[in-house]
Amino acid sequence: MKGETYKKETTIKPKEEYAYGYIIKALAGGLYPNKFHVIREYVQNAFDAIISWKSTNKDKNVDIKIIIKKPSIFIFDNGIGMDRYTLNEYRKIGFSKKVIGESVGFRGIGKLAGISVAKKLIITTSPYGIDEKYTLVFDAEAMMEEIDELKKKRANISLNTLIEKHTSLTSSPEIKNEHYTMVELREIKPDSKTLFDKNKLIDYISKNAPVPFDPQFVYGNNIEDSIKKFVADYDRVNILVDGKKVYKQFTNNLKAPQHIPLYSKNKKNLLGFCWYCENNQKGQVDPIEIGGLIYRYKNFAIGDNYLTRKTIWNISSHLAFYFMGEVYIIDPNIVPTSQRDDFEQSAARDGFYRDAKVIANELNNIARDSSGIRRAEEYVKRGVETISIIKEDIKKREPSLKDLSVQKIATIVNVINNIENRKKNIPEVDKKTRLLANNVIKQAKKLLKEVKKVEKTEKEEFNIVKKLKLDKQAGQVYFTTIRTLKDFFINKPEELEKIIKALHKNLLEVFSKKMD
Amino acid sequence: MLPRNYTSTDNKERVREEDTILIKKEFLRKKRKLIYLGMPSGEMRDILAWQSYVDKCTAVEIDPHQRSELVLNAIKNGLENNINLLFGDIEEILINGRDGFNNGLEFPYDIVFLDCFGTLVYKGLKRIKAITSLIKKQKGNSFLFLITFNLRERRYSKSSAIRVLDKIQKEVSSFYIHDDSIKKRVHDVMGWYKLDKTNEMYRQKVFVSYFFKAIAEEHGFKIHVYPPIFYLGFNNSPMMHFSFKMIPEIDSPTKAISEQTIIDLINLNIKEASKKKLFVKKEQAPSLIV
Repeated sequence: MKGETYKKETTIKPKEEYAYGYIIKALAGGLYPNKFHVIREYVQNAFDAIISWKSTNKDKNVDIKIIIKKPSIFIFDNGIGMDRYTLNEYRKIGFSKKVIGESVGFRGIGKLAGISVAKKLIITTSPYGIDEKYTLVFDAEAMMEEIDELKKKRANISLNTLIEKHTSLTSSPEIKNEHYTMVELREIKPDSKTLFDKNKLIDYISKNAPVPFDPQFVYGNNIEDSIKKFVADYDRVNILVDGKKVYKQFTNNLKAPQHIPLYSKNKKNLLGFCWYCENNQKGQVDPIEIGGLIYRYKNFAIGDNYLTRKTIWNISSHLAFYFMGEVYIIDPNIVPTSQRDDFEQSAARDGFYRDAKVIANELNNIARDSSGIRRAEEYVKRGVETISIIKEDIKKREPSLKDLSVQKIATIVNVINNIENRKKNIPEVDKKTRLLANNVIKQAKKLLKEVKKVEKTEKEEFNIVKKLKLDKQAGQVYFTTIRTLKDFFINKPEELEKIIKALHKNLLEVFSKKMD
Repeated sequence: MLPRNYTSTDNKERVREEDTILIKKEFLRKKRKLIYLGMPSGEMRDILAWQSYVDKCTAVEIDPHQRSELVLNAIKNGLENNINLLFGDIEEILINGRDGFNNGLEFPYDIVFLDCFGTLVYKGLKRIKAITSLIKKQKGNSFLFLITFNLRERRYSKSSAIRVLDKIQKEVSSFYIHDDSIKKRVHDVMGWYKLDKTNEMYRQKVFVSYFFKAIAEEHGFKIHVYPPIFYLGFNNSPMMHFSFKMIPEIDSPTKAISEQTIIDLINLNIKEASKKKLFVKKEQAPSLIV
């Protein structure tokens, strides 16, 4: 507080405690509504360890293994490992030497995430070149019990005492060349048993962790190349869950990938990078859960596919799911929240959300264009079908043609109008569809003439009332009879034709005699 | 049953080599990699030593620390996906077919290796019940049954061992009902086994072999008992290692009958593993020559 003068306190006890045990309880209970976030915290640490190892060593054969062995879950990485001093820092809550923007984790809190789901948190690690391994045990259950007991007595225990009492750090021999860290979440609590669900865990990892694109994804390599060009610290790691290699989810029913780099206003700094693929089919990407854009920070997902929709789409946000893609955050001033469900509110973040609206605009336009194209294509396709049906009808020369001709004329006119109106939406490059559209119009116009001609002839052919010079009343009787027959034989046009012909023949005979 | 051989010794390694010969034979006979059930402890030396012949493993561990070590070693050796890990007391697990966390045994196994703290009747009959349950579940499948007892732990009912020895004496004597000299010989030999000063290893040789033969035959297996091996294990604990070949006798209307008789079992020589060598022990129990 510059400029203000305060009287210095003189009564502070030299060893007074400022943090108490209940903090542990709060950490264990409140931070992770989704239990799988706990696994992500350790995957983040493992990823950082692997990045560190890769930066200093030639041996790049590194991966993360998640192993479910009830009642425990193990997260193993053969990254850089930790010496005893670094491991001891696990005991220090909120302490981290990692730098914001350099590492995925940096708060020094996530490392204790395990105590929210397991009775014990055990970290075993060995750094390369040291013939020892170190094991830190965090007895979370004992900690919680002590806190609860003390609470009943309105007593408190200092955080230091609590941690010292319920943690232990031991060492044992190890091969000098080994380098790894293994986190064991020992005895998963009953409310966290969902973590044993291998399929759910794989699903979570595939959506949230920096795993590679699936080799089956046809655009995977292409996309990765473009990410590498723009995102300097892009990396990924093999993650195996119970031996199954996990990849990012995908569908091959997509158009070729496109990308949008997002620069600062002065165009000097790259703030983000977006790649996207448009759905090849009508509407939203199927399955919808892989549709939309996902924010990525150090290749870890931030939020879900609704976060981009919520933050950068102002209008027609449903169109976000017509695409699949990612938005990599490059601006070091944008920092994810501890729950990784959004970014911390800051001018940088707000500015980014504002600037990233260009992505939404571009994607909306593409979606609309595609929608227009798709509709034009549909009309052309439908026109081809309609024309072929009408041609068949004419060939059969059904007796009902008189009534249907009116409808047919209307249908053909519709085909012509619809294609004429939407022809402009068909891209120039799609010569095949454009040619087809023109052909359909040409054929439709030709057919229209034909149908009109048929209508005229048939009108005459069927106009027996005039021919027989029937009076008004007799004419009504005739039309009522014809209508009744038509209704009755609606599905049997050939029989109807025979009956009407027979009727006309008889009528002509009867009336000609009468006229004679 | 508690795993005691957390730290392997040269003697144990020598015994393992001997088992490797049997495992290799089984591997060649079955023309496929074998499935193992055992208590390999954190170092999982058995699994590592038998990697060439063993594919899938079920490891049972009661000590959480050893369990973590086992997972770590499995990962380091790229075996984590081949190991089905059960957590808890093996006797309970053999009886229930699964542990308290619903991890199940995956029968049948080609090799079963139990490492026992104390003898067969340590603290009651639960161990016998567990072994019987295991043999029942292996029905129709040949397998190698390896079992090691720590003889330092003497908490067992000696009277029940004596009762079994009496039973053996009666059974053998019944074959020679008209030959008093043989009956006397049987009486003398079994009397020697019952003496307090008789080393526990000899008593266990007869007791364990007899028990396994009885249980195996009762459940449709012919048994071949290999000479048991005595050795000093970790902290110089006296250990006794048995190897049994269990061969199913399919479609037998009565219980199976092994080629080895009770007399053959009594006359088995004990081997000893010491200083990386395996040899027939100098001191043997009196034999039954009939």
